[in-house]
Amino acid sequence: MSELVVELSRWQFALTAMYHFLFVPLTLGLVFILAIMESTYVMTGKEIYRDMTKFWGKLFGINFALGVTTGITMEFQFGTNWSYYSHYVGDIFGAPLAIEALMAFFLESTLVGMFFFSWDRLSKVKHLMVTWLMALGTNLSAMWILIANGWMQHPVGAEFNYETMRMELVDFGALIFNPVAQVKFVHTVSAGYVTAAMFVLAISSWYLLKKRDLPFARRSFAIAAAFGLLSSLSVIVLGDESGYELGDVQQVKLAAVEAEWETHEPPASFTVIGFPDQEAEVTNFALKIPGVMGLIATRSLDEEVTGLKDLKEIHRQRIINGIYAYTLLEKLRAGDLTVKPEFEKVKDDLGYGLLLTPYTEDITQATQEHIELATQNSIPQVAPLFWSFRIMVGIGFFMLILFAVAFYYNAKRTPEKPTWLLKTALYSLPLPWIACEAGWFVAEYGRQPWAVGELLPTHIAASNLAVSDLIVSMTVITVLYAVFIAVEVWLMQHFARKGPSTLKTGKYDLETGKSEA
Amino acid sequence: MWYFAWILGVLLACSFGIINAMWLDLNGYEGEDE
Amino acid sequence: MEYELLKVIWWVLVGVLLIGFAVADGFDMGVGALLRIIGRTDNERRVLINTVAPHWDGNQVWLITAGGALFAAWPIVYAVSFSGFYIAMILTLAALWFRPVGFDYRSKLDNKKWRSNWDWGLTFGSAVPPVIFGVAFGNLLLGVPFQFDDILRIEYTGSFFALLNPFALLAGIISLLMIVTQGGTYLQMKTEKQLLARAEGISTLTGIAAAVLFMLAGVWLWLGLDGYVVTSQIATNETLSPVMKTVEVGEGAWLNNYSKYPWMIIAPVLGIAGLLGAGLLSFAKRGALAFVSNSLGIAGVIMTAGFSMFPFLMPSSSNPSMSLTMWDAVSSQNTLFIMFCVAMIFVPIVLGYTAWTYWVMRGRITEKHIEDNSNSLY
Repeated sequence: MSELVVELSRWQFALTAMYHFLFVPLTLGLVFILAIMESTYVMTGKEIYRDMTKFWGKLFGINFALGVTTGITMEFQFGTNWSYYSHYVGDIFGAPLAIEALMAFFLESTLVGMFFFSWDRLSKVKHLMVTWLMALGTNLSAMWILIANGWMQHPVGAEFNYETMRMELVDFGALIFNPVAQVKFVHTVSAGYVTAAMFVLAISSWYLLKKRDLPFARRSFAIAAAFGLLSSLSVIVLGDESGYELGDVQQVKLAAVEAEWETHEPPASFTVIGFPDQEAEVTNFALKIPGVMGLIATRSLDEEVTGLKDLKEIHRQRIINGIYAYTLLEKLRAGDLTVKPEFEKVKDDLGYGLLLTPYTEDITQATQEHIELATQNSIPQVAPLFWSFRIMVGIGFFMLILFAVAFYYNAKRTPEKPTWLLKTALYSLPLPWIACEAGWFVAEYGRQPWAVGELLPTHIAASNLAVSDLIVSMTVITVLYAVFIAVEVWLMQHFARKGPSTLKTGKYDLETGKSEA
Repeated sequence: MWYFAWILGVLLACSFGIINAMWLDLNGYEGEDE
Repeated sequence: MEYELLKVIWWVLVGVLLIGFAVADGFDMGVGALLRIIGRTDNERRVLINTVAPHWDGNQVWLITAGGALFAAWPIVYAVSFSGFYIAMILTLAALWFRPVGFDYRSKLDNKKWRSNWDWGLTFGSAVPPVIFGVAFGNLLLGVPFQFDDILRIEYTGSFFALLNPFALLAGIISLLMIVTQGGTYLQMKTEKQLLARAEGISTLTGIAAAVLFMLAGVWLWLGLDGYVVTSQIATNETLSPVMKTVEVGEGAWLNNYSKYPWMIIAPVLGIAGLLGAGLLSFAKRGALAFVSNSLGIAGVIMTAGFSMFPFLMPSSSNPSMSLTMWDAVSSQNTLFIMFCVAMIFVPIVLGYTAWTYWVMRGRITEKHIEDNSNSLY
């Protein structure tokens, strides 16, 4: 298989996944903000909350359409571009995807139609139930997808079967209650809530700045500030929990994110900022806080955080074991069952053996040079991870402060007074998206060179396609996705600028002539 | 059990949003005539 | 549960999901395909779009579920078919992309050019996938050029244009006609006046044409195509990999099952009667019955493909003994069992609330309804 096909397949997957993730977080959070607004409408009977639900619902719909569009791509793409992956782990990985569709995506998609079109056909309470169930559906979708993704990060409850040449599910409970999946889920949905809260806060701030539709904007601002405050707290707490989980099960990713080249005396210090150099295996101009890293990763002062250099040495040994495992596997598949007990002992290192596939045709004949290459590439590039992680965390803390201040002025009942705050909120609109993409990048790029952690290298997981196939698909995807996002962003700003007047109720400022667009 | 924490957490955040909205509405904003 | 039984159950379940997809998503794809033919003015098109507006998204999940089930229950089938039919799959995806955005964005702006462009998008997005799915099924019956290396990596040697052979194209046309009839008969239940009359006219033609072409394909299968036969014993209750049997190619062998299990003849009979019935009932202005009839016809056609190929799922033309069958291309017993339990719990629930949404949204959509609710409808 050509190196270029693997590279292009990776780019395609990264592109489509990051693009999909532009829409997902907003959906995950905005749906709960809609539920809050509609609940308030049902409890107070004030029509303005129904109008809020409908207006923010309109923007939700514009975003949701592209979320659905790009989600289909994701489900198909494992088969089209990662066929060996699909075969090798489909027995485990396919299950959460199928359950997602049956349990969550059906609920969300069926009810989204009801949300938009049944306002006149259902009682208030029934419609509210629809909205809440839709919210539940979207978030359960995220849960199953992250159970699947969590398994790629930290594969549990599965066993290799040499006869079928794949991983097979042995413990479904372990798959669902995978600690990585759980923490990932709560961290990701919280990030979605923050994104949506920021979205509503920024646009409401703009109306407040323009002194337009004040009652509508103040109430939207209030809900966004309250919901955003708790969500941004939770996203940080759970992010810290992720760090702790990583220290346990994904040591390479943690060490790469922190640019920890050496194993230091515990407790390890935390590098705030610096310039990691992959070749020399050092971080230049590092600014360090003693002890903090050890606390995050191990919650203790006396446990070690293993550095990348030491991890690589462990990898080298496992690659050598992996060659042996692969040799035994070939014998087994040729029918020599006498080596089975020996294979059982070393089969956990089989994946490390497969790390050699980019460098040699025949793994059993790998040379020292091949092993050296595989070892050096057994960790991801450090600098991109180091920086993305810091961008994500920085934005996370900034948004927490922003929501806290917004909530303070909201509680003082003067959200329209501090124009500096409104302007900050407005210009902060892109931040949650940057943080979400950076976080997703850390999670996925940090897993490299593995498609499934320590089991299946990315290189061997790809489909054996022609370069021309990839050129066609990349062109189609890039062109159409570019058109779609241009249309989406244009529609969003078009409706956001017009505000609640787009509901054509005759009550709002652009309709009554109280203010101009 | 983080799934359980999620259910409670999201309900808490939503309730907080609803209560905040209703509390503010109860006393009204300045310059708004009901 | 016995592994063998689970394998059979999943063969049935995947069939059910495919039928569910073709029946449910089929009607909104049919409506999309007919959008520019039946709907001549903007208001007429909005009527058509709003007959499916509350339902198309839920319906599309049948496709997602079928894809997920394929991944979970027959991972290697999912892997070989999706990567093998690569360009066709990308084309399907590109077409499907136009539907969510098309439905949601089209009526958001009052601009002729904008709406007309999205109408083309919806037509493209709704008409292309059924054709490709039909072509794919046609190619399954012909055999697909793939094989495995010693660690089961897939080598596929076909090309996109090789998929477009006469038999597969015929299958593609049948598929499109079925789906268009499904949309046409649905519109007979949801529209009135001139739209209703047009839907009746078109469904009459497409229903009968689908039945005739389906019979033609059957004759072709019988006289002109080679089928595949397993010539070794398969230990159906064991864990198998797809390279542990021998398979031979035989002329007309796809009809063997009908003499072995004569009851299977129900499927093609249902296919022909259902499709023909849909055409005739549309002519007789019995829209609801025509819809039921066409749905049964679709079920019959899909079952015919499944029954003819049983136990094959994807025959390999490069190395027939590496063909994928429902005995040796399946997930582990554990996964099949868990997924079976999940399906037993959630499929009834899904059917329940889906039925409820149709009940809530019952009744015909009129042009007046569109004018009165212009701002809140699609």
